[in-house]
Amino acid sequence: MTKKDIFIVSAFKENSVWRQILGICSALAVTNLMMNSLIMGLGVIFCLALSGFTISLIRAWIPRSVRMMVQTLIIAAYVIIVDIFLQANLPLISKQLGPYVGLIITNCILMGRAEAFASQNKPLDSLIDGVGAGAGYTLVLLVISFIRELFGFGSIFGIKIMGSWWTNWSIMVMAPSAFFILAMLIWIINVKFYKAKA
Amino acid sequence: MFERILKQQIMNKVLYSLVPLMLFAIYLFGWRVLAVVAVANIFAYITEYLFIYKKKGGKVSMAAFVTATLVAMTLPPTIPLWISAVAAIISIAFGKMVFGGFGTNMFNPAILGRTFVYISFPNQMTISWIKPFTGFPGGFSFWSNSKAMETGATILNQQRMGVVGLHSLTDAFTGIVPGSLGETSALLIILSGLYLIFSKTAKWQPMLGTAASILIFNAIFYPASNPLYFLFSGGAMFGIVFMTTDPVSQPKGKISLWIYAVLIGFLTVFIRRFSLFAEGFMFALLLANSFMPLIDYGVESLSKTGAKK
Amino acid sequence: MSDKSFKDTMLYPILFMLAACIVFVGVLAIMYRGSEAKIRAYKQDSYQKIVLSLLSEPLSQALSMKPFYLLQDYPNAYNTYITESSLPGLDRRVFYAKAEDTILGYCVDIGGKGLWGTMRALVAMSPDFKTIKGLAIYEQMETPGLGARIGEEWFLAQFNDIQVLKLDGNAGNYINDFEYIPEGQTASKPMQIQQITGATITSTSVTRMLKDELNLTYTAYLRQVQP
Repeated sequence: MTKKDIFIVSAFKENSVWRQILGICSALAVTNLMMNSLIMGLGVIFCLALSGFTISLIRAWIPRSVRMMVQTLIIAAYVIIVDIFLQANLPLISKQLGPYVGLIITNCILMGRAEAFASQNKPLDSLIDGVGAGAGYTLVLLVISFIRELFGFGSIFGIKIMGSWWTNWSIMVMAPSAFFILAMLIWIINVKFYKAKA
Repeated sequence: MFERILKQQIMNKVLYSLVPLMLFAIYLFGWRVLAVVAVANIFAYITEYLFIYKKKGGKVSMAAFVTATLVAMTLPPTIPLWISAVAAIISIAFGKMVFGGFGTNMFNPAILGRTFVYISFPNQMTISWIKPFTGFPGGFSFWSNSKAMETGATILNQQRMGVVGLHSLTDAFTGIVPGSLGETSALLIILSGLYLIFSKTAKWQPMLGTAASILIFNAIFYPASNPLYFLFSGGAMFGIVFMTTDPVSQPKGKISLWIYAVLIGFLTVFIRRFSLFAEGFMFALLLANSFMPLIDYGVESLSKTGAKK
Repeated sequence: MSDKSFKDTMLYPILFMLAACIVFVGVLAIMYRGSEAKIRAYKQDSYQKIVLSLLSEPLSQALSMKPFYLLQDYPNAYNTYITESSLPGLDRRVFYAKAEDTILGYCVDIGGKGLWGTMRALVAMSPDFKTIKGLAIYEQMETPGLGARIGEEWFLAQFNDIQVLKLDGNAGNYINDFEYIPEGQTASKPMQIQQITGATITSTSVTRMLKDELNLTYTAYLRQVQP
């Protein structure tokens, strides 16, 4: 596989959210505003890419019996780096994202990519795979939050685009709306791009 | 059982039984009521059509109109018309079609649509109630009575704020009170319910069971007030007659029907008493709907083990 | 002993894990040390800015300068005019603004229960603790778009200049009851507050917090004035 193929496969063809249904919890939690989703997505891309790279770099020396522990350790380290960075440099966004940045650690996509890809492939490939999976995840977050922010607040990235006639849909601000928007998204994508196999 | 429903005879009868309620709503709140109902019906038709026009023999069922009319009747009279449309679209699309269409839906579609708009637009759904017209010809000569706004004061709201007795029990029974379109008059709803029972359109067990359990649990949770007051106010009566009896989303067995009814009654009072929301009936019904397969399964397997012994 | 056989021993995974932990935790510790001061400074700054802005009205009057310039002069103005102190028997942070040897107002850090979690607020009081001079909620976990609107300017501004002290108050019961009216209506009585539509519980939580905490504060204040 070429580097481009790796990216396309992990970002779209085998997208973690709509193909593997991973990382749903955070997709529900942070998607009420597009800005939150974007920052969260960037955080996940960063953690995925670098943890994949690191794990792949030392994969020859990782003993099989403790490989999960090592993966978790590496992922946790990068997540904490992101958390500290946000707290120090973007305190407002860090406050809004609250506990969710820390919860990137428990995002199944990270363990999934570490176990399925990084522990068996070359460092650079793993880096690209991580960026791809993270980009796919960010894409889903942005689509959901676009709908939720547009209906819930009448704005996009915090910029009001609906006039004063617009009535905010409170349900879109609450977490349950992400459930059915995500479900519809998966539904549409499955119908359009993956013909159901009998 | 589904044979009969698919002929849609039953659905016609439900529509007939809604006619007096609709006329009364027009009398109370003006001709705008009809517009609310019409918009809901049109959008329900379009939504269902879009889902089935590709399929062979796809026809829009009568049930779509029943759902749309029911959901429109649970909206307040001041509701913007587009919210009525949203409620109808959600009812049909998410309440029915995504589950596979008529006969396979798990939740009552009308209540699902109503809950969606209730949570989405709390301002429009709970704040502005209009005082009903009285005397002759009442609302029949008006479009709507938007000047007589009575903000935030249905019987249930008053109850929560501790103001009791602005509307008497007789008012609540005959229906000259502010409220959603179809839910005001307990008397007319009971008459419609009797028609549904005697024309064998709906079962009597869920109606009686739910009403009784609402009365009992009200007596427990609010020992100081008359439980009839609660039964006749809010959406409970309307829901009992038209929603609990929905043949698709109610349990199939006899015993489970009674359990279902008691559960709805309990949850309604419980939610009215302890939660953020003034009206608990719709949440109670949705919750009971989601327990419905479990109740059916449980009762069935219990009776099987009983038979073996 | 060859390298391969060492890798197969029990010792190797343990040593590897140990080394990995030391390396990664070490890196994190260095990073954290590096930004710790910045994080703490930011938190303190934003907190102190709230205190200053709540007390800026009486201060700017006493100093005859515009509140805006007072806030512009942040670290200086805060250090010059605002002092952290305490009231006897009250375990809340209390600040007062002082200029030319007169206490111009107090600011108390209060907390209470909201719908989803605790909320914390700063409330500015007149020097005699009779009147609310300003309210800011700096920590809350209410529903975004509904309850979280308690952070909005118009809601908080309603509490400005409300005289909360009862005329005939007695021990432990000094504060008037707040009264809620629907959003958009104009208050006709002094203690009336416009409630946030769709967020009854959050709105009442705010007033309950204010009532309870101001009661405690006033009790403590009395203890200080007449020991």
